[in-house]
Amino acid sequence: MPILHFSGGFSFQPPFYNNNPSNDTRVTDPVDLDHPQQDDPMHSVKFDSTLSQEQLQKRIGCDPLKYFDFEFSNVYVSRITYDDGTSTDKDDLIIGKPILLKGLLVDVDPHLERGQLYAAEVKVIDTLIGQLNKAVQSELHKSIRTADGGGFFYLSAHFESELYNVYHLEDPKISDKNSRCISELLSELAGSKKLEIYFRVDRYNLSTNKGDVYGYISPAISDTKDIGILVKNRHLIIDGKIDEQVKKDFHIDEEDRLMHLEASYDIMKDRGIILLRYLDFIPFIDKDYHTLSGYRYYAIIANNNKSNIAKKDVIVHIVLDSSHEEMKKSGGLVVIKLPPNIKEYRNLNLSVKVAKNEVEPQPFLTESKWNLVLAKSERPVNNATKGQVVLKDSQECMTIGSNQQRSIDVTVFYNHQLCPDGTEIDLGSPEKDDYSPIVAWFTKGVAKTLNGHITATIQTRNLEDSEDVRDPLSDSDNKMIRGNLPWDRYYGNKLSLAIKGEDAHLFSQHINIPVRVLHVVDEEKMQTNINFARDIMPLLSYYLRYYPWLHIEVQSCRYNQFLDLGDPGSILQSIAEILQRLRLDDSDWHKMPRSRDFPLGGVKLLERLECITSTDPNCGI
Amino acid sequence: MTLGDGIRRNIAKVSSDERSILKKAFLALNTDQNFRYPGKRDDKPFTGGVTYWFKQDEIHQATHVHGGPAFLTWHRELCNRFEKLLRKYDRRVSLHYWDWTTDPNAAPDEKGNPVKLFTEDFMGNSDANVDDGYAGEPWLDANFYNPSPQDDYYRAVDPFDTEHSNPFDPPIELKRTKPPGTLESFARSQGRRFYSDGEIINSCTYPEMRTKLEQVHNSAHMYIGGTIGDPHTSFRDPFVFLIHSNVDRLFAAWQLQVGCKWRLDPKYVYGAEINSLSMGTGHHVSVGLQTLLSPWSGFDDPDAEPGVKDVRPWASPENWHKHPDLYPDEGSKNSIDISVVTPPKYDDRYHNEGQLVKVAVNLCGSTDESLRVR
Repeated sequence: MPILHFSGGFSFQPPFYNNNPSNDTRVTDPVDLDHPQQDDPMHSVKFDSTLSQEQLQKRIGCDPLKYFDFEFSNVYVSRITYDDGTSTDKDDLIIGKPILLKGLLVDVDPHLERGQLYAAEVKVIDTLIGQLNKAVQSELHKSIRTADGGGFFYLSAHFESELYNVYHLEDPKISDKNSRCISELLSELAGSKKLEIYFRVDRYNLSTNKGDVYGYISPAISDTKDIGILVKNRHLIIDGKIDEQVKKDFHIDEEDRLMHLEASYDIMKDRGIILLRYLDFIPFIDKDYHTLSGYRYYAIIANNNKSNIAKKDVIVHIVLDSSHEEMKKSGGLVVIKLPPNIKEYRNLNLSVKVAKNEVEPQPFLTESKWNLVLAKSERPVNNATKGQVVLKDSQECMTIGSNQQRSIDVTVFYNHQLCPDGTEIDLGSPEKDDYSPIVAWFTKGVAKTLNGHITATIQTRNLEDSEDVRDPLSDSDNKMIRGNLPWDRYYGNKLSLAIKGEDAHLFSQHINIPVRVLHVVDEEKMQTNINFARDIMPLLSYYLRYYPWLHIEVQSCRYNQFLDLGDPGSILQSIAEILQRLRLDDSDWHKMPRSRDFPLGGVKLLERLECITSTDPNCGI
Repeated sequence: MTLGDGIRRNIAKVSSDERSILKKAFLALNTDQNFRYPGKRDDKPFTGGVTYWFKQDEIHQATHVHGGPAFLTWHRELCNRFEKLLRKYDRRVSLHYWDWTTDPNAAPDEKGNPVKLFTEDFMGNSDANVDDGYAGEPWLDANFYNPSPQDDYYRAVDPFDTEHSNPFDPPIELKRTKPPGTLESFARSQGRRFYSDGEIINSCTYPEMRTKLEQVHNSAHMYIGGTIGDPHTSFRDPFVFLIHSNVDRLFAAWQLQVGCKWRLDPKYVYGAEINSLSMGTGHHVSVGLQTLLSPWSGFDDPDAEPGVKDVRPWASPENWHKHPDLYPDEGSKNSIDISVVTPPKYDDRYHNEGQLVKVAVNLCGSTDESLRVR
């Protein structure tokens, strides 16, 4: 399977006004995040069918007809790297083919800013079609380093996901006879090998809801090969010997995760190539895609993982093209071919050096000693047609029910090998979160590795019978809430894992896991009469508070609310379809985006409501 | 009237022989082994071997062009293409219409005598109290539906039952629940606004006309009820094409009003909606007139919905739409294309005044003014 490099744009339609839990769209709210104007009716985000498209966009900052839609736009195959490591930018019929990708990018919790891409499908025209396992957004990184720039536009993040249900798309005029890409693709698919997609997004503009994307589709690489040697997502971090002037030029702040420089790479052993993702260490210095002038970047690979590398150990020494034109062609990926005599990857060492104005290259990025890798769990899709499909579920963020426990599994690598037994991992739980009570924590503070692994248990708060917790809607730390915590809010906080005693701020040695905690419906309610206000409305109050434009369409040139969750009549009229959609698997596009946060047990309760209202004598009412 | 003159007529007013020919053409599209698209049932990623008839439901399911500027134009394209398929069976056939101002169980023929369309000789049963509302013959024997499928191969009623959604397979049911009386009396009993033909074709602008027309069309689906009453399954019922032929007739009548030649000109016919693009996503998408007509133009479009299966042969591996040299009748187009703007021939004409109103733009690219009933 060749590697398909691509670049282009994306659009994304997120509602932001709920990022602050105090915002309540049932009353007039300030939604201009930068310039709140409480008294200005233009800033109410309540449903209003008389608004024009432009007025609505201005008020809520996105197109609610496409809430949470994430899609590529004008993305094309820009380069193909063939199986032997050679590449072309023009001599293959697949070059220039559009790449379509669309899915639902839903945050795990509005204030924790971690997107989960669900139900996405990618299509490379006349080449392949496939679906993405859930992809979780990486930590944010500052990709435009101006002195004064702030906001989303200056940030980047990436996604990676294995593909499933991958098929070749045929065309009468493009075949293995006239496209080497198709020839290699067919060989790969015939061998049932897996593919993955990696893409990095940046320059997200809140006014246009658009940004840039770079990435590639390649054969999937598992985390480890050769008995525990890490070959995927090996991290490069800032070299401790970096020059102060370089740090200054690149605006590096080692205490600020956003301001780090980083990179990661994979080894494709069977092909003898390395895939180095370089966009996160060649930042832009302005909005016009300029990078630091005078700087040259070198990727150096040595067959020696000791700290002192002799010249004789260097097996690859290449200059990276840091132009934006090259970024667009490469998708931010440089493919480095290893010498054919290199068969052993245990001691491979990749570093990046920089040189300014023709001086000698000097230290810049080096291999991270540690790498923490979260396990991916597997789950069958919960519907019969897709029964053959097993999806990979990430633990990079989690959604857990109230008063429950969940385990996570982490593999710890030291020098790319499973770490020694007894390595201590700090398990961190926050003491305070401005936007939510603390609702999730580790059951212990430290875990020790065994066979390179740790397992840690997360405990969640009982949201239906809570002890006193700080009310995040109050400015005061002393205002507490307790008991059955309000159902019209969201609850979550970050947990962290870090190598004990190391530089915990380094991303390779420290993982943040956002955890969302959902209310759970009391089973006893299933046995008693249902009171609409008491039992049903709490399930929906979260949507009413934050998403008044969730169920709309354009009809007769007006916005029309086809389902009003505040109106029992509207709910009862649509209950069959509400349930149909709620029951769909999270990987199904037809499931409404925020239905993935529906209170646990809520579907059962609605089923009971449907049963009762259908006057089914078996309902026992 | 002349069989084979290419004119679509009131189905009640053509001869019983002509109705019979039309029925046979419908049946052939699901029974003649030559009338299948390329491929096999279990082809991946897209199903092949679908009959010409089942393809209609597959197309409709994959697109759902409702509630927007392209509602009329997309369904015109569908009807035109379907009529061509019917003519593969008998080139004399035209896609006649049901005049929805009449009761299809008592529609007057040329002499004013009532004709019942819902009989086993023509469109099957429509009475919910007979055989539980199943359409029965002539459709059952021709496998238009199969209430007792073997090997679990059938299309379910539930649109989200993806295990039972292969367009190759027959639907598990084809039902109707038509009440007594006319569409108008039904609509009024449901509190739904009913526009007369005159009110529709006297609309001054395209947005006004198509909005009224779609509302009555929606009521027509509900009036027949059952399978045709659900937008997810409506194109499993052959009667749907008689409804849509009537919808297109009214669109054509509006275009052909005396003094309104501009309604035959792609530049002017759609008024302020001419530049409309698609809005929304999923089943609540409003398709614009600039949007390519799909699936016949393929789904290689950023707005295409994930999980919606492309429809062959306008997808891999045939890709008819990409190769007009190989498939001269295909090729991507949108609603501005002259082949879409030009109305088919119908047996009636309306003579009313109409004028182009220039106004400011609103959500649909049209105007408040243009929607006002005059």
